[in-house]
Amino acid sequence: MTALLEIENLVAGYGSARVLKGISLSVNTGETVAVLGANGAGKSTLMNTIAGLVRPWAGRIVFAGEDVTSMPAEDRAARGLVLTPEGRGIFVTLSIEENLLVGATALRSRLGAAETRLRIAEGLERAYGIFSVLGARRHDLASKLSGGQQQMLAIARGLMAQPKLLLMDEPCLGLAPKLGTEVYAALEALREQGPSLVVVEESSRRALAFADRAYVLKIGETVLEGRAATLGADETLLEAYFGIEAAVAVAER
Amino acid sequence: MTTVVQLVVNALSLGSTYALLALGLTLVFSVMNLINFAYGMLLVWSGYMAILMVDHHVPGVLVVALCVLFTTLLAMVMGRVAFRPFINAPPITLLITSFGVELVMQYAVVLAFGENPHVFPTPTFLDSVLHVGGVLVPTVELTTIATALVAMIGLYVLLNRTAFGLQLRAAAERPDTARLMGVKPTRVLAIIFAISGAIAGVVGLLWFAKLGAVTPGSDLAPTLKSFIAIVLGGLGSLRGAVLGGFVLGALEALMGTYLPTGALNYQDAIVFGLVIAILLLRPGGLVGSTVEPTR
Repeated sequence: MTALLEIENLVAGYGSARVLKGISLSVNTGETVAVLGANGAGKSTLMNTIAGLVRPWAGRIVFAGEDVTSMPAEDRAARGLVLTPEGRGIFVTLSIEENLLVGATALRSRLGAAETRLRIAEGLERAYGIFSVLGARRHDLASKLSGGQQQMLAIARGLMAQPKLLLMDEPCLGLAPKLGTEVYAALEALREQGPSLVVVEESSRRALAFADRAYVLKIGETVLEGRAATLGADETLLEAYFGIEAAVAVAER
Repeated sequence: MTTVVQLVVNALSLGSTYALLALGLTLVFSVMNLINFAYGMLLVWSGYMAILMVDHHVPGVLVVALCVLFTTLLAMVMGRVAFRPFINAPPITLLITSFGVELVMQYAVVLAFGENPHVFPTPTFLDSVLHVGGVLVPTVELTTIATALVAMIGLYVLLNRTAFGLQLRAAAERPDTARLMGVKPTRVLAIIFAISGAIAGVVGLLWFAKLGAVTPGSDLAPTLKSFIAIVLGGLGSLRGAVLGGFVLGALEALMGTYLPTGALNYQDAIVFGLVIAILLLRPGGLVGSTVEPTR
């Protein structure tokens, strides 16, 4: 497999606070990678830096063979690097379908008008196929959706750009466990046909079961990396990095 | 009955002028939280450019087109040079910058045209009065209402029926998330400033056609009225801007008709007092803010 995303010694932060302290990470084409870590580990900062919302202090980000380290977020999206941000980032003043259409903006900058129209129609059909609730309520305001439905909308919106890599920052944050399971079922459904995925999670259980490989961050540094199945099976490691609850949860699987 | 019709025409004419100005200001505010005190100077420049062109015997239609083009470009330059570098700065920085831009544009007018009032060459068809069933309707009022109607329909279509409108509304609500979807904030800003400049160009011509003269300080009244309209309607809301404009226009028209002659000098104070009373009852404006101010 070839590396779709390569990150070398990434350092970034806010003001004088150094949040990422030299993180290296790679994602191969067609691969699903989990990025795990406790609150404050720097997961969201890492995602925002990869997506272009946070300017790195040092290091290099290469996407699809191109150095995108200094590229604005909108240009990265146009190249197929799309982030579903923490908190979903739903446009609550727009309808569900309008949210999806905004998600297709990146297509417009890389395709002609006719091709864009075709891809948008295909994208809407696919989104409504995977997330039927969105299709049934397409003209409703996005604010009317429940938390779980909004998360599905955020994922569907990210897919509208037909990304090569979709980054998802805590897709189950704030959701009831049952809804979290639904979100992961939807992710599973699109994994076969969809883009490479990076899933950021605070809790390890579901993400490790879902991903091919995983990275564990702690206070801005990578402390563990490897096959997700291997990491998930190692109770000692899980207990060390995520606490007893996670280890018990994995042991019970 | 005649008085009522006359009142309605006045209210619609004033209201549509204020609504258009408020829309021009709100469009920019919704995307970058900028309350642009320099906005009125675009009207003034539109007025002076019209005077200059008429002096040089440019045909009327071309005067309108060139004035609108001029203020469109001027607004884009204003946005690019004076405001875009401060896009992530606190709102107070943008506010103070807009005061600075207003002063620069005003002194540029003084340098170019002097401080004395210039007579505005109102075309004959805007200077006449139609007699409709005993009601006297100045053509400038009708033209203002018709122009505003066309401009508002155009804006509605642009914002609600085009991909750009969708991107603009998304950027207004969540600028960073919109960028993650591929929305280019610089492009959105450039087009927003262009639209607000075009509106100012059109309104400037109608405003001075009604007043009959332009001075470098003529920006104060339209700027003040449009600010009141957007606050009255609900800061940041496009619907609010239109509603605020028409309510302000209606209040002014009512005062102009029913206040005793001796109180007419206090018309503005009374209208502003009523606006404050409305805001005390509805602090978020008539429709409240539908677009949360964002950085």
